[in-house]
Amino acid sequence: MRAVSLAILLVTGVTFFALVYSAYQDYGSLTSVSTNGPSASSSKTVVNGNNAQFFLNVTVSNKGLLPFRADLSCPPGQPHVTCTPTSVNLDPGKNGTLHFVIAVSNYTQVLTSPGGLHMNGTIRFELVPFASLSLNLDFGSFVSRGGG
Amino acid sequence: MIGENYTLGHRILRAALIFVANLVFWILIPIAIGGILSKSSTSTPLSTPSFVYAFGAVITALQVLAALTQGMAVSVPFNTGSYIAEAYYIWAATNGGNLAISAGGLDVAFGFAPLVYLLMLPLLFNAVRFPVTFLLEQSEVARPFSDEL
Repeated sequence: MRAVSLAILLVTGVTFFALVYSAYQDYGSLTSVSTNGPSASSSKTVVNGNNAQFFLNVTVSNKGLLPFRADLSCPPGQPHVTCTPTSVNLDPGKNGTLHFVIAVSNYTQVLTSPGGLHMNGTIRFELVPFASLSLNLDFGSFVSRGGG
Repeated sequence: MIGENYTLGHRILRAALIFVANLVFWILIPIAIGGILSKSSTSTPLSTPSFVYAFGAVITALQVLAALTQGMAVSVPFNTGSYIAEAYYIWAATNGGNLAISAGGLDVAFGFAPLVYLLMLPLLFNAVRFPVTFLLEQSEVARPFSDEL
Protein backbone atom coordinates (compact mmCIF):
# COMPACT_ATOMS: atom_id res chain seq x y z
CA MET A 1 0.00 0.00 0.00
CA ARG A 2 2.79 2.41 0.91
CA ALA A 3 4.65 1.56 -2.31
CA VAL A 4 1.53 2.25 -4.39
CA SER A 5 1.01 5.52 -2.55
CA LEU A 6 4.61 6.56 -3.26
CA ALA A 7 4.27 5.53 -6.91
CA ILE A 8 1.14 7.68 -7.28
CA LEU A 9 2.91 10.64 -5.68
CA LEU A 10 5.92 10.14 -7.95
CA VAL A 11 3.78 10.00 -11.10
CA THR A 12 1.87 13.11 -9.99
CA GLY A 13 5.12 14.96 -9.27
CA VAL A 14 6.73 14.02 -12.58
CA THR A 15 3.58 14.97 -14.50
CA PHE A 16 3.40 18.37 -12.81
CA PHE A 17 7.07 19.01 -13.46
CA ALA A 18 6.65 18.09 -17.15
CA LEU A 19 3.60 20.32 -17.42
CA VAL A 20 5.14 23.35 -15.72
CA TYR A 21 8.38 22.99 -17.69
CA SER A 22 6.50 22.60 -20.98
CA ALA A 23 4.22 25.55 -20.22
CA TYR A 24 7.26 27.70 -19.42
CA GLN A 25 9.12 26.68 -22.58
CA ASP A 26 6.10 27.04 -24.85
CA TYR A 27 5.21 30.41 -23.31
CA GLY A 28 8.74 31.58 -24.05
CA SER A 29 8.43 30.25 -27.57
CA LEU A 30 5.09 32.00 -28.17
CA THR A 31 6.20 35.32 -26.73
CA SER A 32 9.23 35.26 -29.02
CA VAL A 33 6.87 35.37 -32.05
CA SER A 34 6.94 39.17 -32.05
CA THR A 35 10.71 39.33 -31.71
CA ASN A 36 11.45 36.83 -34.50
CA GLY A 37 12.94 34.31 -32.13
CA PRO A 38 12.50 30.56 -32.66
CA SER A 39 8.87 31.33 -33.46
CA ALA A 40 7.92 34.00 -35.98
CA SER A 41 4.91 35.49 -37.67
CA SER A 42 4.15 37.17 -40.97
CA SER A 43 0.99 38.77 -42.24
CA LYS A 44 -0.32 40.47 -45.32
CA THR A 45 -3.60 42.02 -46.45
CA VAL A 46 -4.76 41.62 -50.03
CA VAL A 47 -7.50 44.04 -51.09
CA ASN A 48 -9.42 43.06 -54.21
CA GLY A 49 -12.08 45.61 -55.06
CA ASN A 50 -14.40 45.81 -52.11
CA ASN A 51 -13.23 42.52 -50.63
CA ALA A 52 -10.12 41.92 -48.59
CA GLN A 53 -8.25 38.89 -47.40
CA PHE A 54 -6.01 38.95 -44.42
CA PHE A 55 -3.34 36.22 -44.22
CA LEU A 56 -1.55 35.42 -41.00
CA ASN A 57 1.21 32.83 -40.79
CA VAL A 58 2.60 31.99 -37.37
CA THR A 59 5.46 29.56 -36.96
CA VAL A 60 5.54 28.00 -33.54
CA SER A 61 8.19 25.75 -32.06
CA ASN A 62 7.50 23.29 -29.25
CA LYS A 63 10.45 23.21 -26.87
CA GLY A 64 8.54 21.57 -24.05
CA LEU A 65 8.23 17.94 -22.99
CA LEU A 66 4.56 17.51 -23.91
CA PRO A 67 2.79 17.64 -27.28
CA PHE A 68 1.49 21.11 -28.03
CA ARG A 69 -1.59 22.08 -30.00
CA ALA A 70 -2.61 25.55 -31.14
CA ASP A 71 -5.92 26.54 -32.76
CA LEU A 72 -7.20 29.75 -34.29
CA SER A 73 -10.89 29.89 -35.09
CA CYS A 74 -13.90 32.16 -35.25
CA PRO A 75 -17.60 31.39 -35.00
CA PRO A 76 -19.52 31.38 -38.30
CA GLY A 77 -22.31 33.78 -39.14
CA GLN A 78 -20.51 37.02 -38.35
CA PRO A 79 -21.47 39.98 -40.60
CA HIS A 80 -19.06 40.70 -43.47
CA VAL A 81 -16.40 38.36 -42.10
CA THR A 82 -15.52 34.73 -42.66
CA CYS A 83 -12.40 32.91 -41.55
CA THR A 84 -10.60 29.68 -42.24
CA PRO A 85 -9.88 27.97 -38.94
CA THR A 86 -6.45 26.49 -38.53
CA SER A 87 -4.68 24.29 -36.06
CA VAL A 88 -1.27 22.75 -35.58
CA ASN A 89 -0.17 19.73 -33.55
CA LEU A 90 3.45 19.76 -32.49
CA ASP A 91 5.37 16.95 -30.91
CA PRO A 92 8.18 17.98 -28.56
CA GLY A 93 11.09 19.57 -30.44
CA LYS A 94 9.08 20.13 -33.63
CA ASN A 95 8.08 23.30 -35.49
CA GLY A 96 4.81 24.01 -37.24
CA THR A 97 3.02 26.88 -38.94
CA LEU A 98 -0.50 28.17 -38.51
CA HIS A 99 -2.03 29.56 -41.71
CA PHE A 100 -4.98 31.73 -40.78
CA VAL A 101 -7.10 33.52 -43.39
CA ILE A 102 -9.79 36.10 -42.73
CA ALA A 103 -11.98 37.29 -45.59
CA VAL A 104 -13.82 40.59 -45.27
CA SER A 105 -16.56 41.68 -47.66
CA ASN A 106 -17.51 45.35 -48.06
CA TYR A 107 -14.05 46.09 -46.71
CA THR A 108 -14.07 49.86 -47.15
CA GLN A 109 -17.58 50.25 -45.79
CA VAL A 110 -16.84 48.07 -42.76
CA LEU A 111 -13.59 49.84 -41.93
CA THR A 112 -15.11 53.30 -42.17
CA SER A 113 -18.26 52.41 -40.21
CA PRO A 114 -18.45 53.99 -36.73
CA GLY A 115 -17.93 50.73 -34.90
CA GLY A 116 -15.17 49.56 -37.20
CA LEU A 117 -14.56 45.90 -37.88
CA HIS A 118 -15.42 43.48 -35.11
CA MET A 119 -14.84 39.78 -35.31
CA ASN A 120 -15.00 37.37 -32.42
CA GLY A 121 -12.27 34.80 -32.51
CA THR A 122 -10.74 32.15 -30.30
CA ILE A 123 -7.11 31.28 -29.76
CA ARG A 124 -6.64 27.95 -28.02
CA PHE A 125 -3.42 26.42 -26.74
CA GLU A 126 -3.29 22.92 -25.37
CA LEU A 127 -0.60 20.88 -23.66
CA VAL A 128 -1.93 17.50 -24.70
CA PRO A 129 -3.63 15.94 -22.79
CA PHE A 130 -3.38 17.80 -19.52
CA ALA A 131 -4.26 21.47 -19.86
CA SER A 132 -5.70 23.95 -22.29
CA LEU A 133 -6.08 27.72 -22.44
CA SER A 134 -8.69 29.47 -24.59
CA LEU A 135 -8.74 33.19 -25.25
CA ASN A 136 -11.74 34.91 -26.82
CA LEU A 137 -10.60 38.02 -28.62
CA ASP A 138 -11.79 40.61 -31.08
CA PHE A 139 -9.70 39.87 -34.19
CA GLY A 140 -11.30 42.84 -35.93
CA SER A 141 -8.97 45.46 -34.48
CA PHE A 142 -5.98 43.39 -35.57
CA VAL A 143 -7.28 43.18 -39.13
CA SER A 144 -8.12 46.90 -39.12
CA ARG A 145 -4.48 47.65 -38.34
CA GLY A 146 -3.45 45.54 -41.30
CA GLY A 147 -1.98 42.78 -39.20
CA GLY A 148 -0.35 44.78 -36.50
CA MET B 1 -0.27 2.92 12.97
CA ILE B 2 -3.28 1.69 14.88
CA GLY B 3 -2.44 0.22 18.27
CA GLU B 4 0.74 2.21 18.76
CA ASN B 5 0.86 4.29 21.91
CA TYR B 6 1.27 8.02 21.57
CA THR B 7 1.48 10.38 24.53
CA LEU B 8 -1.17 13.05 24.97
CA GLY B 9 1.48 15.73 24.54
CA HIS B 10 2.57 14.20 21.24
CA ARG B 11 -1.03 14.15 19.99
CA ILE B 12 -1.75 17.72 21.04
CA LEU B 13 1.47 19.03 19.49
CA ARG B 14 0.74 17.17 16.25
CA ALA B 15 -2.88 18.41 16.25
CA ALA B 16 -1.71 22.01 16.79
CA LEU B 17 0.76 21.80 13.89
CA ILE B 18 -1.88 20.25 11.65
CA PHE B 19 -4.35 22.97 12.66
CA VAL B 20 -1.93 25.75 11.69
CA ALA B 21 -0.93 24.02 8.42
CA ASN B 22 -4.57 23.45 7.47
CA LEU B 23 -5.50 27.02 8.37
CA VAL B 24 -2.88 28.30 5.94
CA PHE B 25 -3.35 25.72 3.19
CA TRP B 26 -7.13 25.29 3.11
CA ILE B 27 -8.35 28.72 4.28
CA LEU B 28 -5.82 31.57 4.07
CA ILE B 29 -4.31 30.73 0.66
CA PRO B 30 -7.73 29.97 -0.97
CA ILE B 31 -9.17 33.20 0.50
CA ALA B 32 -6.24 35.15 -0.99
CA ILE B 33 -6.72 33.48 -4.38
CA GLY B 34 -10.48 34.04 -4.15
CA GLY B 35 -9.88 37.72 -3.37
CA ILE B 36 -7.84 38.10 -6.55
CA LEU B 37 -10.38 36.18 -8.64
CA SER B 38 -13.38 38.06 -7.21
CA LYS B 39 -12.24 41.17 -9.13
CA SER B 40 -13.23 39.37 -12.32
CA SER B 41 -16.11 37.16 -13.30
CA THR B 42 -15.11 33.59 -12.64
CA SER B 43 -16.61 30.13 -12.44
CA THR B 44 -14.74 29.04 -9.31
CA PRO B 45 -16.51 29.01 -5.93
CA LEU B 46 -13.22 30.15 -4.32
CA SER B 47 -14.44 33.73 -4.67
CA THR B 48 -17.27 32.80 -2.25
CA PRO B 49 -15.74 33.03 1.25
CA SER B 50 -18.46 30.85 2.83
CA PHE B 51 -17.40 27.95 0.58
CA VAL B 52 -13.76 28.27 1.67
CA TYR B 53 -14.61 28.67 5.36
CA ALA B 54 -17.05 25.74 5.36
CA PHE B 55 -14.71 23.28 3.64
CA GLY B 56 -11.66 24.62 5.49
CA ALA B 57 -13.41 24.12 8.82
CA VAL B 58 -14.57 20.60 7.94
CA ILE B 59 -11.14 19.47 6.69
CA THR B 60 -9.29 21.09 9.58
CA ALA B 61 -11.66 19.63 12.17
CA LEU B 62 -11.37 16.13 10.70
CA GLN B 63 -7.56 16.30 10.52
CA VAL B 64 -7.23 17.68 14.05
CA LEU B 65 -9.54 14.98 15.40
CA ALA B 66 -7.53 12.36 13.49
CA ALA B 67 -4.33 13.71 15.07
CA LEU B 68 -5.85 13.76 18.56
CA THR B 69 -7.03 10.16 18.19
CA GLN B 70 -3.81 8.98 16.50
CA GLY B 71 -3.22 5.29 17.17
CA MET B 72 -6.88 4.63 17.97
CA ALA B 73 -9.39 2.92 15.71
CA VAL B 74 -11.59 6.01 15.73
CA SER B 75 -8.88 7.96 13.85
CA VAL B 76 -9.59 5.89 10.72
CA PRO B 77 -12.95 7.50 9.81
CA PHE B 78 -11.53 10.94 10.61
CA ASN B 79 -8.57 10.38 8.29
CA THR B 80 -10.72 8.87 5.55
CA GLY B 81 -13.27 11.68 5.86
CA SER B 82 -10.61 14.38 5.67
CA TYR B 83 -9.09 12.89 2.50
CA ILE B 84 -12.49 12.63 0.83
CA ALA B 85 -13.31 16.22 1.86
CA GLU B 86 -9.95 17.43 0.49
CA ALA B 87 -10.50 15.64 -2.82
CA TYR B 88 -13.99 17.10 -3.18
CA TYR B 89 -12.72 20.56 -2.19
CA ILE B 90 -10.11 20.48 -4.97
CA TRP B 91 -12.68 19.27 -7.49
CA ALA B 92 -15.24 21.90 -6.48
CA ALA B 93 -12.75 24.78 -6.18
CA THR B 94 -11.46 24.17 -9.70
CA ASN B 95 -14.97 23.59 -11.07
CA GLY B 96 -13.91 20.11 -12.15
CA GLY B 97 -10.87 21.49 -13.98
CA ASN B 98 -12.80 23.96 -16.14
CA LEU B 99 -12.23 27.54 -15.10
CA ALA B 100 -13.53 30.52 -17.01
CA ILE B 101 -12.37 34.03 -16.15
CA SER B 102 -13.62 37.25 -17.69
CA ALA B 103 -11.71 40.43 -17.02
CA GLY B 104 -11.16 43.62 -18.97
CA GLY B 105 -13.10 42.40 -22.00
CA LEU B 106 -10.98 39.29 -22.23
CA ASP B 107 -12.51 35.84 -21.79
CA VAL B 108 -10.04 33.19 -20.73
CA ALA B 109 -10.97 29.54 -20.24
CA PHE B 110 -8.65 27.04 -18.60
CA GLY B 111 -9.23 23.31 -19.01
CA PHE B 112 -7.20 21.02 -16.79
CA ALA B 113 -9.54 18.20 -15.77
CA PRO B 114 -6.84 15.46 -16.06
CA LEU B 115 -4.63 17.46 -13.68
CA VAL B 116 -7.43 17.77 -11.16
CA TYR B 117 -7.99 14.00 -11.30
CA LEU B 118 -4.26 13.52 -10.83
CA LEU B 119 -4.35 15.77 -7.76
CA MET B 120 -7.36 13.91 -6.37
CA LEU B 121 -5.88 10.47 -6.97
CA PRO B 122 -3.39 10.41 -4.02
CA LEU B 123 -6.08 11.78 -1.70
CA LEU B 124 -8.68 9.21 -2.73
CA PHE B 125 -6.08 6.45 -2.57
CA ASN B 126 -5.25 7.47 1.00
CA ALA B 127 -8.97 7.53 1.79
CA VAL B 128 -9.02 3.84 0.84
CA ARG B 129 -5.58 3.01 2.26
CA PHE B 130 -6.38 3.96 5.84
CA PRO B 131 -9.39 1.69 6.38
CA VAL B 132 -7.81 -1.16 4.38
CA THR B 133 -4.58 -0.95 6.41
CA PHE B 134 -6.63 -0.86 9.60
CA LEU B 135 -8.64 -3.93 8.59
CA LEU B 136 -5.48 -5.82 7.58
CA GLU B 137 -3.80 -4.98 10.89
CA GLN B 138 -6.88 -6.04 12.82
CA SER B 139 -7.09 -9.34 10.95
CA GLU B 140 -3.41 -9.98 11.77
CA VAL B 141 -4.05 -9.22 15.44
CA ALA B 142 -7.02 -11.59 15.45
CA ARG B 143 -5.03 -14.50 13.98
CA PRO B 144 -4.63 -17.11 16.70
CA PHE B 145 -1.47 -18.69 15.33
CA SER B 146 1.59 -17.51 13.51
CA ASP B 147 2.29 -18.62 9.94
CA GLU B 148 5.75 -19.73 11.02
CA LEU B 149 6.27 -23.44 11.47
